[in-house]
Amino acid sequence: MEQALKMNLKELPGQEKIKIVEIEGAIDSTTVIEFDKKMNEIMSAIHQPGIAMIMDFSKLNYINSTGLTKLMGCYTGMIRRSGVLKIANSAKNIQEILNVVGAAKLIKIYATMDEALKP
Amino acid sequence: MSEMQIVIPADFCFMPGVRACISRICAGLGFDDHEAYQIETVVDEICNNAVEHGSKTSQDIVVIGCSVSAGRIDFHITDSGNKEFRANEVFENNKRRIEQGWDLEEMNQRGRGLFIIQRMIDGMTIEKAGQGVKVSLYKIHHEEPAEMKYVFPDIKL
Amino acid sequence: MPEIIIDMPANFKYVPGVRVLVARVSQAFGFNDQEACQIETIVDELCNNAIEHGSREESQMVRINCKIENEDLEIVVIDSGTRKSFDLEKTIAGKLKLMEQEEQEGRVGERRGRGLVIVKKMSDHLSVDLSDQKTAIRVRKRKAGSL
Repeated sequence: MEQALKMNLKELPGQEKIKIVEIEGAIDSTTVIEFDKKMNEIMSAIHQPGIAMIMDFSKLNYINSTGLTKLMGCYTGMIRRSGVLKIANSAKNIQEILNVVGAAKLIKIYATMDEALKP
Repeated sequence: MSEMQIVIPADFCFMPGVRACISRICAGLGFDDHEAYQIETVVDEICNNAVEHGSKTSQDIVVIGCSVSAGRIDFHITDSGNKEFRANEVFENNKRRIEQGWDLEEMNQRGRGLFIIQRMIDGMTIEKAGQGVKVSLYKIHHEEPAEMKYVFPDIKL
Repeated sequence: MPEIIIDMPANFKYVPGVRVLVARVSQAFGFNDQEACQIETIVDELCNNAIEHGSREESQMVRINCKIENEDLEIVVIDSGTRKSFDLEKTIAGKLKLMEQEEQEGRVGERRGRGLVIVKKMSDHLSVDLSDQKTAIRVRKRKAGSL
């Protein structure tokens, strides 16, 4: 059984321009406040341009429209900081909903983490 | 305290859904994986009993009530009955087992369901409800396992 | 035809359980994995809407009624909201237009309200019934491969 939402910030040695956020569980109406709070913490610590934030969705099993709204907020937040938001490893059902709301046209989505890590 | 109520036809094919439902609600309440698993198992056992013994026709239903408050989850599971005689038998056996303990022979054959249940939750009551049986149980989220409390009302059939 | 009825207090904490219940039941009746995921999303979005706009207090209930008829799953979500009018088609069309506009301009609104658009795109039928004290949103989802 999965936990409602678990988030983990990972930084790679020697790659200070990359921030990986692993997201596990669901971003829905019961967890969206926590998601938003953690993402704001992570983003407000970004003070230089050119940062690539990669969300690792390999353990994300669900996202709804409320969660997507906040995800879009992260996209805008990264643009404002002259950075970029990328998504890696999303499951089919997550991919579908990203397509349905048009998020897939704006956010860069990669099938694997390796591809997302390329500049 | 308001209660969620799920009404399903008395058929096993609905049980995976019910288990997943309970598991998610427990996760959201802060029960850890093990505790949530225990709750899921207990509710599954009782619902399976309700389906197996508490129903005869395709019109029969099982009603699962669930309410949550800080660190506690309560369930009320009611079947639609048709088992007046059996109910009495089940009650008597359960009462005896709890009072006198289980013998290993018996455990290997029947009633493992109840044996599992007894160790996994904090309290349970069984009562008659119309033609059927209503099982109420609760579990509290805590660090140490608590002692089980049983209440068996006098049942006259 | 099998039917499940769920009465849920208007609190988000019950929604994850309700949406997986319906999704798993649909799988038991032959809907495939992708359809089950879509059904989970449909139930989630409708329940959240019902809590946000209809039954705003926990003492009020939201009813979710699911019926399986041959190749169809019918989901009806009823809240106790007293909306005077609700033009579903117009609301969705308006939201779709806004979303498309934003897409073209390469920006995103952080506004809410994509829920119904998602439900519309993932279902085969979507309608609304307004009565005195209730709003009922009705969705039908058909199994893949069925006519």
